[in-house]
Amino acid sequence: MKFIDSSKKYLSRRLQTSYGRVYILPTGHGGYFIAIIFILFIISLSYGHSLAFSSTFLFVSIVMTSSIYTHFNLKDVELKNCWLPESIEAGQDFYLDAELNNPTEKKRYDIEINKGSINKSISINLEGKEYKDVQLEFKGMERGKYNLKSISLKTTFPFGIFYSWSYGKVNKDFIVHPKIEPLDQLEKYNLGETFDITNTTIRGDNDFEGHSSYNEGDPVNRIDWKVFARTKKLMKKDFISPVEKEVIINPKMIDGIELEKGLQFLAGILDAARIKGWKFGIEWDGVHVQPDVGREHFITCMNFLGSVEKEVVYL
Amino acid sequence: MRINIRKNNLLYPLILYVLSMAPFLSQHNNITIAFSGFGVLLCYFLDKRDIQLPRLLRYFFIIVSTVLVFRSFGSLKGLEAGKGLLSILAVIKLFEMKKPRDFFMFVLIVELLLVGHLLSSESLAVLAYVAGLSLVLFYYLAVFNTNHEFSLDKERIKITLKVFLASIPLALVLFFSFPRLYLGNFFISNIDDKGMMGFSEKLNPGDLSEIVTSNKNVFRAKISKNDFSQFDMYWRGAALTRTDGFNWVPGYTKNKYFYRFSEKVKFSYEVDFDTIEKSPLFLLEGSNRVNRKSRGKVERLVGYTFKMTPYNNQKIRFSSTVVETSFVPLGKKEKKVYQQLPKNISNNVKSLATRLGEGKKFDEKILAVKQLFFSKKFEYTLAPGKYNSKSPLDEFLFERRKGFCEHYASAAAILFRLMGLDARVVVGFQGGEFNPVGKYYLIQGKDAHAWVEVFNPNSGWVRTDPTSWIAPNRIRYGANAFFLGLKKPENISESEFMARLNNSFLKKLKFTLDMYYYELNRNFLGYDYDAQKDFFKKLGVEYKRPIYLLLICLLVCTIVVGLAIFIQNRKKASLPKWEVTYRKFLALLTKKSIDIESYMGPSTIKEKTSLQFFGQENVNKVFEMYILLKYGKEPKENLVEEFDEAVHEATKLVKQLV
Repeated sequence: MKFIDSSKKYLSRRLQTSYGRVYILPTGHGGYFIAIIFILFIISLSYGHSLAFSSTFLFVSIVMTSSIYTHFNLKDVELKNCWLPESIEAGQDFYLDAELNNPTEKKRYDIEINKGSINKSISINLEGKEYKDVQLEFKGMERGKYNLKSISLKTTFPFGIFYSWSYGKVNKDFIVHPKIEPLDQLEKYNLGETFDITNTTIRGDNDFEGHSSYNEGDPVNRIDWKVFARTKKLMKKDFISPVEKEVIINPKMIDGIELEKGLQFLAGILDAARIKGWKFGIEWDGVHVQPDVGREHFITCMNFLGSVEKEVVYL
Repeated sequence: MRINIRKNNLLYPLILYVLSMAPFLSQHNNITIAFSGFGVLLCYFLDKRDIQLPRLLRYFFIIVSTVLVFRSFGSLKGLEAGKGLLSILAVIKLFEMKKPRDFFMFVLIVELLLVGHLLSSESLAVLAYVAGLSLVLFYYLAVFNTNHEFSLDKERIKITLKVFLASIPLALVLFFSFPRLYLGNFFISNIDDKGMMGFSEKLNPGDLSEIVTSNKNVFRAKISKNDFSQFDMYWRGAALTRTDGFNWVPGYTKNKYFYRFSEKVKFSYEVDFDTIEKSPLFLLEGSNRVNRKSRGKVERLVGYTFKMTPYNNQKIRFSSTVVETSFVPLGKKEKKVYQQLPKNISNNVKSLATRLGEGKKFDEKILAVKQLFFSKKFEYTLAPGKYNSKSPLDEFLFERRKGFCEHYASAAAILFRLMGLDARVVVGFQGGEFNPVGKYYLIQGKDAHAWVEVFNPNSGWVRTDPTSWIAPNRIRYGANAFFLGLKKPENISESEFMARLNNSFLKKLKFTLDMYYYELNRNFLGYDYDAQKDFFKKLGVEYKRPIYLLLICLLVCTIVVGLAIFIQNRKKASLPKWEVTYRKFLALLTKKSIDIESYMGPSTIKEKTSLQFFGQENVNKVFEMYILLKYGKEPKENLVEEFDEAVHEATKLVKQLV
């Protein structure tokens, strides 16, 4: 069994490196069809009649011709410009956006885009020289580091006797971060003395210094709405010597808790801090992520949590 | 994928099933027909009410029908039983049609069933029908493969037609070049005694009238001799020797050779049957051997009477040669056979024979019987009525004096035997319509005939046809003209009269169409191992063993498939010039160690190269122009020149910088 598994893995790796190549095999139905042709062939040999031979050979030719049609229906079809979200929450469905391109003049029928972890494969017709944007919904995945190497393009056109498939290269890394545990749930758990979100000190936020442009991720409560009403520009209020709340998460905070669960709490804490506009950072086994605010910083932290103790999984 | 076909429509599979069965009902027995009809109606009824037949009931149907088929045919193997089983399986599949797989299986079963019907009918017209229906079945496979519902899709019709047409060259290559190897007779079913024409190895006067009045084609014969006379056109079937006083049956002797066949071939001929025959073969006098061209077993019954038992109801095709023969005197045992008479022959008949033959020589005895039929005004009619009395021969000779070939042959042979001659009755066909376009004879049911052969101790068996005495025009002008009541005008010759019979436009058209049908049948259905050998010989390829042919076949198939793939690939090569230019430019970038993957679009490559060729607008322009050319709506002709220029400049730059 191990040998078969390793052979399968080896073959799939070998095959996936040959992007653009089209592979072909009979479908289950095609297998039946071929079996029937074989029976017909035996009947022909036994019966020795031209009509029996002609029927058998006509079916053989139809099967052969349809295999050529199946093969060429997929040939030269390209998957391009793949895009995956930067941050994906564990268990949450996500989308891969890509462009399916038919560079040839001939119309292509029923091209199915498929991947093991896809929720639902989609079937597309492509006119000659046409490209189409496609969106594939992936099932929610476990926390971890992933690399989506390729997507399968498959077709059983025209009769479903054969299916041919090829691999469209994606080669995108993505991290699935822990599920974010809502803040109100945190109080139910004993997180120890190392962390008490309610007792975090707040240093002055009343000494007004001036205005600066509002960027995405900045606390919404800093927006000066009066300025907005006057100028239609989003400006935020800055304060002298801001002493803000800071949340630095570290492994000690989840001592004694199962890692995945603990990471979910920490993700919840970071999210709570982000919402409240606090600075947040990470100190984790010698890795320092300086406290900061903003969406990009939040994604960096979440991705860090996503990759904790995880190796890259190739899809 | 699970899908409920029932909700979509079961009407189409039902229609397809009916189309695959209806024209071939005559090939099925009553059980199969009843089950299929009941199944179709029940299926339609259940479909209308969206009711699924319980699985247990389906299994029950399968078991019951299999047992019934087994009881009907005595076996589950063989074409007839196979067709019965397949027709029932198709109905069962209709009942359980729920998933796409069920429809696929249904199509496969129906295809097999159609091939079964085709093999039983052995007709090119049926081949055309089966091919047409297969086309429809494949169309539904194509539609159902994606839509999972039965709909009219013009594009799929076009594709199915294209696949079918594209399949024909390979099918032809395989048909002509795949070696005609034969396995055993595993699929061979039981054989009945009686052929489809109704000829059997018996003669009961009156039986042939049904055949004679039919216009059914029986066989076509191509004779190598050009000046073949209508008077010699006697296609001998069974030679009957035992009589009960009116009816005749065969009674073969142990000695099968009453002739000595010389090696000198007079002429040869080929016979292709249109019907399924199982009675003795119809051969011309002097035929020394039968070379079968269809599958079956040939045996010599006696003299030049052969029987061919076709395998699996196949239509018979054979060739034969007529050689010069010399007779062998009859032994005592043979004489006993050919002079056998029943005890119930009446004294009236006996005394008539004695009166006619007393003191006369061989020829005079025959003449005496001829004169009897003349003098007593015997009448030739196809509707003489049945002879049901205790002594039908008396009734025929002394009372009604009406009949056709069978009655005269039977009566004459008994009279000859009563006169002390060795005589037998022969059934078969006389004449046939000559097709001047195809140069062959078409023998129809109306040509069915019976005559007598009498043994002359000095010259052997002599054919004596009493019908030619009563109705000479039946023999002289053939059954066709005779039964139509056509008479030769006195002012024209016989040959002119015969020529006139075939001179109308409709007749010529009929001959032409029949010629095509015959030649297609002869060359297509008759394409066997020998024909294949001849075909390859004509092409200059000789083979001694089928394995060589198998290799040739594989080679030719590879060439055909390779050619198809080459043509498909060539279409791809016809890319627009600007696309080729762009690809060459990408190849240059790759050569200059710029990592470009096949999945990258022009925007991505532009982004990637913008750092390397910072500020070099020419390189960027190549990609921008390419995007416009490929995806833009502007006329491409206006942009191509500009694009070529941009590529030219960019190529120079890349070569300089990298």
